[in-house]
Amino acid sequence: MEHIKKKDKSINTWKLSVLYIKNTKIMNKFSEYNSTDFLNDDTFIRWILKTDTTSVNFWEEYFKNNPAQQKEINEAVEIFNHFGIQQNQLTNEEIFLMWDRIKHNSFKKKQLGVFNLLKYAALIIVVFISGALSYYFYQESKTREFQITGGTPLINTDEAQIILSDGRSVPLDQKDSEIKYNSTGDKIIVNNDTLVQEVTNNKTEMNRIVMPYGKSSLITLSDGTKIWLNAGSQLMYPSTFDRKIREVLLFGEAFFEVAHNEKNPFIVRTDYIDIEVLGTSFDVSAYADDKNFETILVNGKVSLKVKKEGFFAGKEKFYLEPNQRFQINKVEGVGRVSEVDVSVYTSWKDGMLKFEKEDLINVLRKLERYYNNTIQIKDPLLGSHKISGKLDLKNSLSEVLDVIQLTVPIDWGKQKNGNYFIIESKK
Amino acid sequence: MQNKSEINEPLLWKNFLEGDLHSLSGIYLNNVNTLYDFGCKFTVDKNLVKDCIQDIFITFIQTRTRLSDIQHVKGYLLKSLKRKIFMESIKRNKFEEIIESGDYRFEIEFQNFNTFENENDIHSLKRHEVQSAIQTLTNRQKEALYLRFNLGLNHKEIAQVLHLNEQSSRALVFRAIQKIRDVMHLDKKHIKNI
Repeated sequence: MEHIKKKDKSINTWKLSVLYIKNTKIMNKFSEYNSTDFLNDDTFIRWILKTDTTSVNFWEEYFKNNPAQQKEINEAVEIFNHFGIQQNQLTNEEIFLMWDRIKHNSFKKKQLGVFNLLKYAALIIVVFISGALSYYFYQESKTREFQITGGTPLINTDEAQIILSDGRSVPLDQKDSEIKYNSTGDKIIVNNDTLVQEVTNNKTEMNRIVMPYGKSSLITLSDGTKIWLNAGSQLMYPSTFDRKIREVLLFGEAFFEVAHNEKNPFIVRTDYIDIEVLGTSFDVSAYADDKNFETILVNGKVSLKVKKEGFFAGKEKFYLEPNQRFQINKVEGVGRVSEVDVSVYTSWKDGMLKFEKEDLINVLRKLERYYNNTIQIKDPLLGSHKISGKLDLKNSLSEVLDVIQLTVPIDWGKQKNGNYFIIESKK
Repeated sequence: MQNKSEINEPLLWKNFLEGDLHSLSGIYLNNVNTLYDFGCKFTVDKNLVKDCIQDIFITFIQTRTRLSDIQHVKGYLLKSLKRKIFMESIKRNKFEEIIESGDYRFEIEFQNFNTFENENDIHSLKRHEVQSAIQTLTNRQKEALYLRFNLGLNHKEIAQVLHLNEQSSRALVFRAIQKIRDVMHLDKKHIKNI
């Protein structure tokens, strides 16, 4: 079909004129087509559905040159249009729940009838699976767009946006956005603009916020719960909580200040762990590309349930006291509770990063997310330098790296493409 | 123009076969609604359809090393789901529910079948007539046209899902479209006579 385009240009070479003759033959084949024949042609269907540009260009060119067939073409389109049939659609919530079950069960059955010795091997398999969906969000979709449901528009996870339950998507242009739902969930204030959405009672349609690297936001849900969503994260939640359980889905990191309500527990679902709370504030870090899952409790009480198969799966519930951190290594499946300085983990929501004997590599990873930049580290050994202190994220990345340079023996530089790199200091 | 996702599914599938499971989640996200809609045409039991979708993906993960490269991922998924729904219906003793006069059912509902602007609205009347004609097609013809017009499958993929060779599948599609075309032509004469 590319040849048609070539036809328009002046054709001098012998090779191209042969192609031209071939094409006239194809054209002749089409000239006797009636509506049925058109609908039987695969490329014609691709033109109607606009699935690929080659077919679209070919047919639009063809229609221009063959006005006599317009009647048959119209009829073909008419037949096609009569086929508008009702579509059954899953909600976003169902799509995620089903994928959860797929991941969970494909592991469970695998273990059945297999030696217990294989448990460890199986565990590693599950870790890969567990990262699957959210990893796909962060890694794959960075470079391309994809459709979550047929009904919703294409979602580009590189752009900060809020997707309402009716499928509308509103961009969040500021670096720090503020989003507030009223108690009935039908009015939403987004950075001083008021949006209205219809709330259906029988179905808890999910809203979704997408925060790419370099941006963050504060969301107040219909029950008054406040959520600070960190860079590179996504949150899904219903417009109103009309069930007994208040439930949200989190990919990435967020700080929660849950509105107290004993009757309706609040559950944060992540890829790896479910966190149940009554009324409390805590931080959850569930980045798919981090090897650890973490949650840190500031006050109140939370219980944790490890969903994935492993030594902690399902059986045990962890309870956290204030100033405690639960950390689980996703690869080894080993979790532990320890006392920590909570401000280290929650300072990001106030635009600061605090560290206490943290590996340089982990610090850089956090900075990469916050500034949406790449920091290459030339010598992996440099990554194990320990850092303590506070970084002000209102400064530029270069300024922040200058501060780090004061405490560890490194030099930094910037490449032509804007990426940063870290090398050992020559001093 | 709504550009359909340009995800290279054969490549994702290939990556999945090599052990990259997040490629499979991409295929899942891209196709789950299509699979669900297709499955609901065979049975009114929507939970059965959901279970079957989960089951085929679980099977993919568990038998990954025994699977091979495929070019038409969507066709393959639809075929797998269809087979799963039939097998599961037999298992649950619900097979009679999806069988109708010796053939399995395939039920489509039109979006605005019964909406008329007014009684003399020729356009709505005609749509109603053509859509009634579509409902008189055999279940297999309906399935073929659904795959072609609603899911945009090519002849190769339709043949795959219908379990026919490409030639018979093409003929099936051709006859079905021809039938609707005939009704439309009858209709035109009929309207002229008034």
